[in-house]
Amino acid sequence: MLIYLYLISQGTDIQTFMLNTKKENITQFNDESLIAEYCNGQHIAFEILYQRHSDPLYRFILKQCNHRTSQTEEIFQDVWMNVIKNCQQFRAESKFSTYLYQITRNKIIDHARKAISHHEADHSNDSEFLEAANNHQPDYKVQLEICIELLQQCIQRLPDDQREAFVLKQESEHTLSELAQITQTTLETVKSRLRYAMKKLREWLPGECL
Amino acid sequence: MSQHHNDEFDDKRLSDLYKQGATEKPSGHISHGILSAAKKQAKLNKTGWNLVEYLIGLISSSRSLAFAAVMVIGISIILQIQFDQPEQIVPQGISDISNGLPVTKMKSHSEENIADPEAVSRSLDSVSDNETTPSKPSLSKQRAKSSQPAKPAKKTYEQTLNELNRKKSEEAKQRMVERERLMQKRSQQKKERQQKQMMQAPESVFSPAPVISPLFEITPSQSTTTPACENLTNKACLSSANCLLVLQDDELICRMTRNHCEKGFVQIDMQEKQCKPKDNCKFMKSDCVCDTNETCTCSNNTPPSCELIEVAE
Repeated sequence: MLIYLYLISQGTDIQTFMLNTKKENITQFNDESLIAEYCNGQHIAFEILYQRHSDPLYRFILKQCNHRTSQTEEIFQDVWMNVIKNCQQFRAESKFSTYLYQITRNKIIDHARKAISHHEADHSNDSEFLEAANNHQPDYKVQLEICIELLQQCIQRLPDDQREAFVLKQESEHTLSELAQITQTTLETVKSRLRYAMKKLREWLPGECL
Repeated sequence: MSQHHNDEFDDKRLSDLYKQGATEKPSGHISHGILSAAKKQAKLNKTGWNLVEYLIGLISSSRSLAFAAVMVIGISIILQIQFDQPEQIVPQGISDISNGLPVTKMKSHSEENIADPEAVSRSLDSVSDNETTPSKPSLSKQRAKSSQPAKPAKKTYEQTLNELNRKKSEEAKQRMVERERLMQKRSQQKKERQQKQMMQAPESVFSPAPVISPLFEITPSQSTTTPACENLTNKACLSSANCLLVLQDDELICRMTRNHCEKGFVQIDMQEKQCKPKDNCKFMKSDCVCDTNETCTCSNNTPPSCELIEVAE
């Protein structure tokens, strides 16, 4: 009560104060505990989950959708709405991030099926871009930006399954077996896909970038 | 080998390059939409009801509401106190003054009546019913008249005080009259009893014998069981004109006189002239001698008597 009166006198918003206090405590929770808390009505738990996973997930979708922003946002929204509505379906047998990326992958596949006609990548300009990049001798900063852009272009040139494995490996901190679980394949398949993807990227990227 | 495998899949240069380019983020409006949807769903998911959180939320979100509520409650309490004050004091104060209670008792008494508003209204109603002055409205009626609550209450107080004082004095007078009546009645009854006792009880030794009508006769049942004669000593019995000492079953007993012959005959005198003048009476002499200053010495002898002679028709 005294704390409450003190905060009132200091002009602090009590609701915000309580929220921040709760948030500080709940930040220490792992993903599984957070989703359980959210299912019990603690919306702060969801906020923390969202902060942890939203950016990597968005990039994963973005790369899988060939940088189509509208499609990415649609899938991204669908995934999180699925988590919100079906939080009770999550079982702690697997990690929450595994569950999240499984849903995302399924959503991407659904969208890809719907827009299969638009999915064919146009690689005609890539060779021109690479040629231009190799001929150009920029300073270090410009070179880094070009290398990043080149990597993005190379990733997009990878086959879907290899790109998926590579991006998942880079964006999330999943183990290879977890990647196998997400992509619903065997461990060896994941290893193979990753090996091929990295080999191709090393080949395509110029020596100055690596 | 495993280290080799990890190195195989963890190309640091590629990873760094990838991470430097990984700057894409979801737009703010999408994040806001998702978080607000999550908040709504969380409210639906909430199983328990946290009272503290609810109260804090309510107070912090609507401080003005809390302030308004406090103001309304405070004003209503003040109005209630002002409204009830004259109604509570008037009847109890009057009754206490009329009963002559001390001030301290009056206070406690009035507190009791505050707890019982029906008693207050009853006392007010009873007062108004007995008065010739314009009747005072009951408590419920007074409450209905909320326009001027203080003025009529003050007027009623004075009026009712006067009327009750008057009433009290009348009651006191009535009590005095009743007491006087009772006293008179008791004194009369006492006198009657004394007269009766005088009539029944034996006269003193030195008092003259009362004149009794010759027609007066006492039944044997009355005469033999009179306690007055039984309680007398032998000497007193011999001296009495209404009691007679006789020998019955070798015992001397004192009994009431039965006829006109025995009436007025004082045995201790042993005088024939007290008996002979009476009609049909005969003096029976005895050897028994009882001196006035000494104890009767009749012992087992028959005491002197004046007996009725039966006349044959």
